[in-house]
Amino acid sequence: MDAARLTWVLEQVDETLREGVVEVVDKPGRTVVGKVEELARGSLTRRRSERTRTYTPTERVALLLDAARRAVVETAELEEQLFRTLEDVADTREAEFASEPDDVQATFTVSAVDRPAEAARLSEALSELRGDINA
Amino acid sequence: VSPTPRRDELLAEIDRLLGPSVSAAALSAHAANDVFEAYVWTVVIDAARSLLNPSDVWLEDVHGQRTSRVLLRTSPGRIYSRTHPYTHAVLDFGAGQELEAHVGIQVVGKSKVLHECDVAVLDRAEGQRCRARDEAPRSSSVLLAVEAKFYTTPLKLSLAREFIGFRADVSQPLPRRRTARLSPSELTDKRIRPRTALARSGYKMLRGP
Repeated sequence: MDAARLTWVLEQVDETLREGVVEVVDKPGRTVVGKVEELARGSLTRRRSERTRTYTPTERVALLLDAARRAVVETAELEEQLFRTLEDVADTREAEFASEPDDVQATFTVSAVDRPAEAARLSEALSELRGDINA
Repeated sequence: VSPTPRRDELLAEIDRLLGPSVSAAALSAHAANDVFEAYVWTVVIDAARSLLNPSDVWLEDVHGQRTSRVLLRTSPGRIYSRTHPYTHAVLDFGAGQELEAHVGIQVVGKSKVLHECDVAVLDRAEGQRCRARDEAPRSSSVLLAVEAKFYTTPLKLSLAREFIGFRADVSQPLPRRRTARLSPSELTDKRIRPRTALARSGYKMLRGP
């Protein structure tokens, strides 16, 4: 992933691994994993408590595979949906992004391109591996 | 997870495919987040288009000129900024019912503190007033405010807590009368007030399917 300039994905995975899995404990024997939005509701915190544990080795692999899918496969899908709407509304398949201050050079352009067949195959390979580790 | 010949092959294939599969948006966390905000913006536009004629939705720049150029902010800024001709969408539900959909603008909360909305839908009259007077829109005129987070891993608990604070300062209760009478079949009825219809669409979007 380093070679594919996806270091930021590895950094996000590393950070998540450091923080651990947040679990919402409801009743003895009933554990709901990752329901962060539920913790935000004050009423639930009176009936439930949260705890953090480390990821298991299998969960670590799954986390990395899911992160790779989101970064590569799902961004391509987002782009496609984005350009479909822009084409309908403004007859364009290009979006520019620019920071407000002039002195900050944070400008880039995203254009619609035919997704290479590799993206579809990558999605399949990630799914295959993901299913494999869950088996 | 123990390595096997088949897994080794899969891993090698994934490694080979990663390079050519990476899109421009995936090259940095910031770019991916910006594209995700733009995507959410188009979801809002699509929600309006499902209620309107095609000619009732168009793009406009900060100068009020119709445009086909899509230029969006990389981070939330001022709605009246003329540094670049930033683009927003106009959603015309009829006289007195016009809305604007923006990406990355600041709004003034009930506490008078400025908040950053990754995507915001507001009354067009408020948008025009703010651009003319160089002011930030009031949260009371904001129909929909979206906090967009594109992470490749599960969201952190702290992000949810930050969102609760943001929501408390910008949210406005919808009148019970309007929300109670909206049914799925009415979503296709253009007579439904856009404030209600779009808010419901946005609610679905935030909550997921």
